[in-house]
Amino acid sequence: MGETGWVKTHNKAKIASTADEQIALDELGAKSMTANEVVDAYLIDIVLDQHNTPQPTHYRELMRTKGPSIRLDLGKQAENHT
Amino acid sequence: MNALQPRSNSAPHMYRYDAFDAQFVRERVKQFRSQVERRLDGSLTETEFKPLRLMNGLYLQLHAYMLRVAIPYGTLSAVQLRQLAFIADRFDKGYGHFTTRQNIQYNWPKLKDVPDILDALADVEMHAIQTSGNCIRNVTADHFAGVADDEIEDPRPTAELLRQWSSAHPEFSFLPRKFKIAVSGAEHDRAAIKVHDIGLRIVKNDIGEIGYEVILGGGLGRTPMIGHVVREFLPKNDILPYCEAIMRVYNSFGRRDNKYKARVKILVHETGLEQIRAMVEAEFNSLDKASIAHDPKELERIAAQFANPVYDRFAAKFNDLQTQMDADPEFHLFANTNIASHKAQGYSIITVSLKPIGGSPGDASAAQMRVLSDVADQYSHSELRISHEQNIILPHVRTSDLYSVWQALKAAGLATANAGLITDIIACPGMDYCSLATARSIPIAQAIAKRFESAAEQHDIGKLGIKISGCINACGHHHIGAIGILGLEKSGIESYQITIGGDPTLTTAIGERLGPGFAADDVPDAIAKIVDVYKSTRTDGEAFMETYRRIGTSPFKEALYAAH
Ligand code: SF4
Repeated sequence: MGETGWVKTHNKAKIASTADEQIALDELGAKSMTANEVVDAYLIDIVLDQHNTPQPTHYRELMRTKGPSIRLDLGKQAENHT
Repeated sequence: MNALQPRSNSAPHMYRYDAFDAQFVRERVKQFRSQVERRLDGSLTETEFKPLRLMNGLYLQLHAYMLRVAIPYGTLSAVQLRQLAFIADRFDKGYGHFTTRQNIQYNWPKLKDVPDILDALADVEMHAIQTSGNCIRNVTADHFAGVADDEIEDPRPTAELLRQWSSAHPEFSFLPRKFKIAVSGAEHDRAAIKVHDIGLRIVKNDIGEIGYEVILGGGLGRTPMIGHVVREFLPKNDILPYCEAIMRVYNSFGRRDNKYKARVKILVHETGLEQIRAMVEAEFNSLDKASIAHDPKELERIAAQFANPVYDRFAAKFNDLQTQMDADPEFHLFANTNIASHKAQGYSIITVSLKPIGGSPGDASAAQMRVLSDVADQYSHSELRISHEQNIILPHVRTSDLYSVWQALKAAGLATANAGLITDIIACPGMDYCSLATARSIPIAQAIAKRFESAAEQHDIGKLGIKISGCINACGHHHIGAIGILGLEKSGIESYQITIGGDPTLTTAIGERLGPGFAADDVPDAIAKIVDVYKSTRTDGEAFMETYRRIGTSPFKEALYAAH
């Protein structure tokens, strides 16, 4: 979920910093799933990198933001692959 | 829309769908097409759609949908493989992944295309039904079926009979959990029958009658168990009523309260073998067997379709193989590992390894699939097999053609001479694709293969199976690898547990854990230490497993952990 709706990349995702914000985002995710806008929305742990962009801390979620680690030509990372 | 026109899928000696099968599959595609349309227009939510897509083999993985297509008993025609290549190119990313259960998985299909893919599969008598869900899954068989020189009887007619009986069986479509059956018809087990829910071994009794040894309650996953012989000799005609009796007992008493205890292996374990046997026999005796048993003529009809092609009787005259091997060391290496003896004189079986050094185990590009189809057309009576070891088999090759086939394979990057060796690694997709994974599998396989890249070293080490799973579900069969590797998560990083002594053959054994897990980067070194223990301890001609059985786990543990 980004500022203006659901986005395809994690770097524009909304960040929840407090428990209340987490609950609000969770509820939004659940509502969007019911409304058939997204599949399987859930919160993930992130850190902010030097560009202030959120990056997942867990390797599973990091993998999801990129694609298979053994095929850099596939998945979201493919755009940057030459 | 399909590039290939519908045409016969089969070499003349392969099983053909009957009209019922064809209509059934087409109707399922039509039904699923309408379900996909309703999902895409928003009338179905993912929660509503999920059970429907799973009934058609469509999973949702980490990056995309994944479609799992059944290859019944691992037998494929050249036309079918060409169609799989077409699907990979037209609807996916130009490759497919062959699994340990004789399926092919496409990792990138778009939901809107899936009905077209299923139609394209139906054009060549293939489908994705019962490749998911709590039903009887794709029945697997020895990949050397029909051609192995140690075979009593071809297991595929039995597997096909079971496929027909179990397809959309109304009583067994909502079992406590999934159910897997494997059939072997040879003296050696190449189908891992003792780690299936039901394993069937075709045997001959004292008076020369052919029947089945029935093994029940094997399985891997979080609680690995070796199956037990529940019936030593089952007459052939009783196969369906007996399986029906097993399924009824399982359906009635299998645990539905706990997903992790719902497989039949747990029922057998908790109830006890004697009690389960008594329950199955009681159910079997109470059944109206005649109404369930197959018509022997039907089995004959099926068997006739699996009859081997007419072999060239002059092929036996060829005796220059050794000369060809001596003249070309590279071919010599290939022949040593990737060629098996055939039951027909003058013929051989080729294993085409899908484990190039540094590649993804079990992956084949569309171009490679096409090469294999062409090679099969030219040299193997248009037939191929998929092994549970994630390799492709050319089952009917004239020995005099081996050198030419090898050259054709080599040109396509398909002549890796490592079948059964340390770099012929079984690996599940792991976290590179699978949403259930706790760690990656493929990069570990690649790193180990690179570590043992030298052909001379591989051949010196000899037969050694490494199997890797990316989570406790054990799709990579790590429990039965001579060396097994299980990827887990430990404090937010990938950690790999190593087991030793697993055995997938008739002397089935579950590997023993050696100790705490290793970080991904340390796994190749750990494997090298295990191999060093073997090399320094083996006696002349002793294989890895023989050395392991003689010296036990301690020397290996010591090598891995003594310095820690
Ligand atoms: S073993 Fe686990 S990670 Fe590997 S394919 Fe099976 S479920 Fe996925």
